[in-house]
Amino acid sequence: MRNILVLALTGFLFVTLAVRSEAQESSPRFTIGGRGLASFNINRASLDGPGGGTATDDGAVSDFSDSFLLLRLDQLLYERHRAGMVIGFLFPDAETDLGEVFYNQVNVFYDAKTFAGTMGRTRLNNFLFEFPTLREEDVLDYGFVLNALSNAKNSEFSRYGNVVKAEAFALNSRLAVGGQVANWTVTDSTGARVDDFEINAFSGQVTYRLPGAIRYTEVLRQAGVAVHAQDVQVPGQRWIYSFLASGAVNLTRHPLRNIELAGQVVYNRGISDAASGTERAARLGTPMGRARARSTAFMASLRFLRRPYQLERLQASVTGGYKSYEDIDASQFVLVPNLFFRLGQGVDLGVQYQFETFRGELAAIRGRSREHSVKLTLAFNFQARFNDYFGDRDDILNMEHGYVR
Amino acid sequence: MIRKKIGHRSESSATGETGPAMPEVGHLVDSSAEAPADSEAVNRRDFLHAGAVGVVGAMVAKRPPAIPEGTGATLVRDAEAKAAGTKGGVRAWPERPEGWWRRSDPVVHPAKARPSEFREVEMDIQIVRHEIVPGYSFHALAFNGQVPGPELRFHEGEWVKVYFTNKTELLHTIHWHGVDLQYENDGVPYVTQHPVMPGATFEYTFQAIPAGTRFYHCHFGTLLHMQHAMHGALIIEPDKDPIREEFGYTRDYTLVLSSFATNDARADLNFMLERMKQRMWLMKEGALDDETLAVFETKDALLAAIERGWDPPYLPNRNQKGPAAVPDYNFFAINGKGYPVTDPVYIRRGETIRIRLVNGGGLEHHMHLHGHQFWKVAEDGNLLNSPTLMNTVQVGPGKTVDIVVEGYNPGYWTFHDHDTSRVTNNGMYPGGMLTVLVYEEMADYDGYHPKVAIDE
Repeated sequence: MRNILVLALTGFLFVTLAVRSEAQESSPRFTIGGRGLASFNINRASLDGPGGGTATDDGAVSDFSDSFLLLRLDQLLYERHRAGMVIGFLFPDAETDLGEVFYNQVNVFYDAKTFAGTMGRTRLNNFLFEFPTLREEDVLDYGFVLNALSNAKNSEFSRYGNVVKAEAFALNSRLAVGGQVANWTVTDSTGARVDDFEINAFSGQVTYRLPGAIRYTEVLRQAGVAVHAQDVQVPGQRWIYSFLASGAVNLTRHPLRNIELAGQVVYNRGISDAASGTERAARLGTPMGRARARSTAFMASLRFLRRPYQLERLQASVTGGYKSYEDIDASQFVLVPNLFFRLGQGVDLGVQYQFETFRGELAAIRGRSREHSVKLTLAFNFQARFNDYFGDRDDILNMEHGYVR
Repeated sequence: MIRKKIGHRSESSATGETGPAMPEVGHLVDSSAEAPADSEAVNRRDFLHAGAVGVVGAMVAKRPPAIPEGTGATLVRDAEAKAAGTKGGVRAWPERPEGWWRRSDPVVHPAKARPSEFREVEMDIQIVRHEIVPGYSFHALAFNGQVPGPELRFHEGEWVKVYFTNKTELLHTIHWHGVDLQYENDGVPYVTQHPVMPGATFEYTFQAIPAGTRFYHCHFGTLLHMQHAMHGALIIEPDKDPIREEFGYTRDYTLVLSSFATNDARADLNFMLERMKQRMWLMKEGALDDETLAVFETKDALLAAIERGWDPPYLPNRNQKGPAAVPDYNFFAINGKGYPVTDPVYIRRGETIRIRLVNGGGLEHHMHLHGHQFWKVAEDGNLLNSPTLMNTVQVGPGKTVDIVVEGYNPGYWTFHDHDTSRVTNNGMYPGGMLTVLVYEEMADYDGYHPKVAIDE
């Protein structure tokens, strides 16, 4: 029913745009973007037995998860600020219980020269850097503060939530101080969603980001620190705190052969209780347990982008992650090299290999010591903007030649 | 040597008040050559009076105008001019004017001419925020920070050096439109010179010939640069001006007509700036190749690159400009401003004025003056074979037109593009390319005075 309502709303939006109302004096700016992403995945998981033997589990699937469509409409306000709305949906993994589509973006936003705010469902501020893997969920355990209120086996509940977030650009359009109060999706122990829309998380962050239009102009491309708190309300402890730090640099500012190095660390203080080591290890068997475990995750990536004639044609990257759990003999490691060829504007043909190991207690609990996967993919990305009648805060003219309200 | 920094627009340029004090009324002729000469020649004051009653009185029917003097609503006849031969609103010059331009000698290279004296001018190009109408600003490419660029006035035959400094991250040149100069000073990138790089200064040297209303504009990325404010008037004044001699005009106005597609230009400028930042880095590192810049030494080199598999940027599979490639004009200006903040053109009864129309934009304009017939006397800066009487004059892209207006009908008279889609500000009428011919005596008139209406 909910899906039908949102689809009806989306349809109404199109009709409204197509047939301009007599009463409407100013049509909104309209941006549509999306990605069609399909991959053929070949997987092999293996578990080293105590006697030295190895059990393997092979499989192959066709996967179109993380394909999405986004509509953004915004309007110049009487005070020359901007406000608008975003509606978007993506296709989650088949093995989740999210249905055919998941409405990951349903929000309204307000934007001006020195501040920006968003209310509604959108991205959580639980990461600082997007690493160059085919899908975000490929490195979810390493690159994100995980949802400690959900036991569902999906990545969406750790990436999207209902939020009120704001950023202030104190000095310029690169340096932002931001905060977020959020309702992270809550589930019961079986992973079933429960209707709990209370605010259950806070975060704050300071970030420096080179806007995309000038991404090659300086060595320092991104840096940031953040702190998160999730309201887990377990006996003796209400909050789980997580701390993030990240940085990215252009190893070469060459715009035709750019090399970028990035890193991020996520320290999760987790739950401090009197549980034994065995009990703590057992908790790693569930998504909620892993999210609540005290851990440190490191990630780093090296990306090479070849842009002959200033057109993206090839990207090669390798991303690595390591996560260790304190007080438990458990750790995990991932290595993700990939290669993408751009066949035409927005159309990428790619291959990604992923190798992941689980060590110590984690291997037994998760039932695997190693995972290999190869993904062959074809992706179509696009963005088109219509009725583009005002500039953005971070476009070059507004950043460098005086802000036009 | 004179070295002149062209800064803020001069007062005389802004108001058009140049030339000597107002002389006697200039010569007008009837459109009907058959009318008896003795009955048609009228006293100037009588004529003005009648014209005012006829037009202003009709506008304010119940209030008699207070500017009253004159006798007839017909045009003044001029026996002398008639003797020279006129018919149908076209007047022959009394004799071929002395300033009539005809060139037989070749243009001299500056190095060979070795002039002893130059008029020196400093110009630069910047990106500025320009308020075209109250409350609406956009980023513009502005010569010396002005929209349009400063009006340059040189004497015919004078040697000129223009030191042009590029203060943007884009590439530019200056093309001297309608000037006969040595080709390497013509300002066409990759044809007559390399474009002027960011931070660089280029020296243009030329002799100011021939006389007339000319203009200048950037010739790099002309679609964006020229039409987005990189243009300005260039007036070359002869020692003896046949138009002044013939019509005795007193004030000399320049109206630069501009059309702006501000939304497309914003997208295009942002795109160009992003691309140029990268190209500048490549240039500094010596890594900018022909294919990235899309500039080749020869046509064969271009064909060879295509043969190797290089896709030219105009191909549909890589054209990155999208909708911005075709401008959607939404603001229109006279001397950089749209109505209601365009500067009026002032005249006094009995006065003759000259108006130089310069089209710096990409659209064709049809400038119509209410309540008057005027003489079109020059096109592209060159004298016409004979002045032509009209009330709507066509000014195409790249064109200049000189007209002479005689002050015989006191009042407030709109002067505007008669393609009224350009008499708008962002689609709202009236606005844009509209100004008003104002008789200075109207300040004392107790009839209707203009209001400021911007939404009809």
